[in-house]
Amino acid sequence: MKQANDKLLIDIGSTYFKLCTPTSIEQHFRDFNKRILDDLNHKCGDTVARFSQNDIHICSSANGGLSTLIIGLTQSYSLKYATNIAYNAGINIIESIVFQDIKTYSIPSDVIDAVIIVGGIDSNGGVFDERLDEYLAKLNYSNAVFVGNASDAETLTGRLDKLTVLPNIIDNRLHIVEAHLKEYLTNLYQQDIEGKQDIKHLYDITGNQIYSTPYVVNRSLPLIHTSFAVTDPFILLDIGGATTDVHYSKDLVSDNIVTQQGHDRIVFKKLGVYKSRQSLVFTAEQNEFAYELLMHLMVTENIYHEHSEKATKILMQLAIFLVLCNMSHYQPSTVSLKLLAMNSIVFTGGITKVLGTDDIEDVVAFFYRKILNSEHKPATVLDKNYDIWTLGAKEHAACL
Amino acid sequence: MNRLNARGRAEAPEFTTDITRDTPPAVGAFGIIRGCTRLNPWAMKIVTGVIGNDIHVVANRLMDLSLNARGYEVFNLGVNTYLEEFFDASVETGADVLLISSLNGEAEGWSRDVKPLKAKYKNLDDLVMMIGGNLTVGSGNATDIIPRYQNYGFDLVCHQVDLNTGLDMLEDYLREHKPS
Repeated sequence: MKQANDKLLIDIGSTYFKLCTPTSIEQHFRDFNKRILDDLNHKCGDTVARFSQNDIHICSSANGGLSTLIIGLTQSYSLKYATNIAYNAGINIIESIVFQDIKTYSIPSDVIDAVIIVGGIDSNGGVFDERLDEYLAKLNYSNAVFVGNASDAETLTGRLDKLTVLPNIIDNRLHIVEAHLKEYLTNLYQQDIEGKQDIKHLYDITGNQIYSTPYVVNRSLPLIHTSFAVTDPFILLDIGGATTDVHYSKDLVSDNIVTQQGHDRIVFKKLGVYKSRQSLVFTAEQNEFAYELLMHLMVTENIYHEHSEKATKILMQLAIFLVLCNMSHYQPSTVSLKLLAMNSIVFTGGITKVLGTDDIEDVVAFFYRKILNSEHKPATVLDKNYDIWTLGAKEHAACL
Repeated sequence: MNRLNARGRAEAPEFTTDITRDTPPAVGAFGIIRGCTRLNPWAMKIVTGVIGNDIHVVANRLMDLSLNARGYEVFNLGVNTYLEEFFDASVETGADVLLISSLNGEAEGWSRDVKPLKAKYKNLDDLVMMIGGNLTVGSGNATDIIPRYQNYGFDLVCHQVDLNTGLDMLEDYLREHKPS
């Protein structure tokens, strides 16, 4: 096996792309008037040409990744397990539906890349009735996968088109079984990339599978202590142009999920400072404490409409605050983390190019004071040189 | 509850953990007899666990062993279990019985939410609800406590009752209300 050091690692983001060679890391702002491959060849063609196809490894978070809708029996088991697996496979979740209330949910207008249906242990069949068929008939989706009880798997196969059946993700002791669904979703992401005009051309320069960036980053987390002074439990915030990814130690959640990995991931799809700027501003306007944060930072709400270096900086600080709010008891989203137990907070991505440690610590301290009423101060660690991504990509490439 | 479990363990030499779910227990095995011909606990699923921020795991383990020995298919959620998880587990497993236990007395605080929460589930009407252990903080007597918990939505309430006696009560109840 070749050493990962002999390889070229490329990350395609929604705003920037990065290249890591054995000797350097370079980052380029994307030219949206060009195809990604053309842009890449134009800006760093010499670097790419130095490596053979098999030594080039690419990951991408561009286009926001796959979208999924999950239909499950309960919040505490089927939906939670499927959500956990989907996020860890790098998939974004559009909607989670509790089956008994399915008629009360509106139908998403967007095309859903994958619908995940889950519920019941294998000995509990007959839980998905015709309401499921009716809902799916109205939904615009590309793939559907059933990972629920065995007896419904048989009946649903005959009733629904495009249905893939995989083993149940809930075993007979109500524990999670993640391998099959995770592999399916990872492969689906791969197929999606191959189908996307802009990304599929990248296969001209690589002989390896293109993975989702969050999937690669997640692999680096068990090794993060080798590069950074990080104390468990920690969270890793990757605030990008379109989305914000959060990877967190499992110790920060009170969960009934027992998995092999020590870190999970959630994504806030419309929380970024470039492509998702408008939705970030909208979210900030809905948050009653955002105004106080702006006052604390000595700016007014007019900053939302400015396009300046200062405005970008403020928006990034707002993004940190909003993400922390979304993971706290104040505005619980998918998960609610025990943020008072957190010892380190690690930042990676574009945010580290704009904000300094002081700027970040100021916002984090504001959050703890205002929302959690605490003087707790987790250590702030900045990954300014994309070492975390490099670590994960090298680890991933070395394993292939 | 300690006394209850200690006695349960001492008085139940037939307890075993190696029952496989493919093979029904022999006729006459502990808890299956008592002249019952229609009740078939083997086919019954029971969700159990310790409610709230209660970490009394030994009692929970004894409960698990006892229920298994009596032939139920047991889904033990362990300690520190919240009400939503109990109901969700009942839905996922298609359970017949939900047996909540408590030792530190905080069950009362949680139990006030049983009725409204259960009402949100559309398929739990047939679920037999049972609670047992030490159901109050400080002193209290069963005469006051049992009606209170029944009013919270429990079919069977066992306050400081011996484990085996409590499980016998469950069998009697099931025989009467779920004969098939």
